[in-house]
Amino acid sequence: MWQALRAELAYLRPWLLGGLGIAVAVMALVSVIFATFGGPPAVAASAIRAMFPLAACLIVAFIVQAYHKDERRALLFLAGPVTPRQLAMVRVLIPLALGICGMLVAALILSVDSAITGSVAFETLQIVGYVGGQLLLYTQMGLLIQEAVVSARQRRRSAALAGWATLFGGAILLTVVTFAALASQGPSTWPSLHGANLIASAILMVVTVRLYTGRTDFTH
Amino acid sequence: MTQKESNDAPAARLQGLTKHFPTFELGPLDLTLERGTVVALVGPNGAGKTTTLNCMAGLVVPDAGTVEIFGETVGPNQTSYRRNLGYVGEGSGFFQRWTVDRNLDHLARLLPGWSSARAVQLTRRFGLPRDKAVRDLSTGNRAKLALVAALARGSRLLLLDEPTAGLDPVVRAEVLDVLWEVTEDGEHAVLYSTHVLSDISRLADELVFLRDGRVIQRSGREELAESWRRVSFRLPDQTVDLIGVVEHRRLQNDHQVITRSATATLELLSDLGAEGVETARMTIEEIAVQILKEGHDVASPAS
Repeated sequence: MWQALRAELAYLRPWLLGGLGIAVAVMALVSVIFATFGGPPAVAASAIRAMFPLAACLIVAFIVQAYHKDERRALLFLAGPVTPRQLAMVRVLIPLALGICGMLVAALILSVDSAITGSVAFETLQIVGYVGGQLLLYTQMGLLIQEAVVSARQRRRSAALAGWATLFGGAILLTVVTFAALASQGPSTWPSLHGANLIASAILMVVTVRLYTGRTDFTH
Repeated sequence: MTQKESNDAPAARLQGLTKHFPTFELGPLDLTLERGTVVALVGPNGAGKTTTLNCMAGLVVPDAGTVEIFGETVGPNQTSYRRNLGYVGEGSGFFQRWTVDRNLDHLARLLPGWSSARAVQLTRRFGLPRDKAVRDLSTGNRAKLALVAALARGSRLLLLDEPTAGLDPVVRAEVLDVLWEVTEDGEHAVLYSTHVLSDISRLADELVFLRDGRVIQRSGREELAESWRRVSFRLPDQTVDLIGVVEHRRLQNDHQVITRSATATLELLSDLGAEGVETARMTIEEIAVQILKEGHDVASPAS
């Protein structure tokens, strides 16, 4: 499984580097605009700059999902000692790895900001972390939707139903938790928001792996 | 449960293999592929050839029945049988933006039993441009690469789904040459599906005819070549009902028939006093076309 994951990560490296390169260029341009014409408060400006690498990683995650499907990678890995469960894990771990990569670059940008401005506001870190968590959630949602659709096509109705139920149930629960956390506005607000993102992502990953493992046709 | 490979097990055994689709049903299919044999799976589009091969490769999970490769059960969560299996089908899963060499390097790390020396030898033999990205390869070169991947891992059973489809005659001949060499040692078993009927006469020991998801006939190539004949004769003023005849044309007293039981037909013609009897051998392609055309009429018990 690790060999498969390593190969996939090596394969996506040009896109990742290209995406991050574009993100850094846009970020630099935005910084110049802020400096020249005046921008939002420092807290928001830092957060905005840190969003670009996160967004780049999200886009790369979607590109990789598309390539994985188009190039029918399952045929390659299932010819070797990789089980469908391991292959499914590779699929859900790729966005996670990209998310971590995006967060690291964002952290680097915030560190540079901190060195220049003297400090980075606590809220900035939380906002960037929250957006990172949300982006991870979206990529996992994409994979789960894909599996729910495949399950329906393969006439595995209960699996498809489980996929859609997880998706909609999770979305509703996440919305409720988010609103409740924002309404409380206490010390537990940010931990609740981050926790909800991570738990929801983990649930989506588990269900995606289960649905993929239950496929009856791995050729498409 | 992982099964150990059995020394006396056939290369592949399918028992009661069944797969339902909304518009098509495969099986129940029983088929045994002995070690060292080359079997061609022949049938029209939608006969179930690709589904059969996909089930054997563990890429499609059957609704019922079992598949064993060298005695090991095939299933998506089993991996041990795969070391003996090389599969060339529609799509290969290669990293399209990587070069041939990089893909082969990756396979060397992924697949136990991989022989880099064999891979290099085959890429040279096929004239594959090793520094070219897979997405830039021609259809023929992609087929060759898939074949290299299947052969360099030391598989003893090759499942080939239309391996020569879309190839020009020269490349097809090269691919068939390599397959011929591979099977010459008597160790490798090959099951391949094809539309190119001329490939059959070159490679296959046996032919399995599929139609509407079922085996309608299984015969040895030599057996077919010996039993099928085109017979012309003259038989005045007589209505004839000949054994084994699948096609009968008559112009007044001149008859031309195609028979799948040459001996029986000729004996009967002799008894009837037919004159000017002439027989002509048929090519395997011609026979295959007749069997598929008349599939339901000539069906015989499948082995």
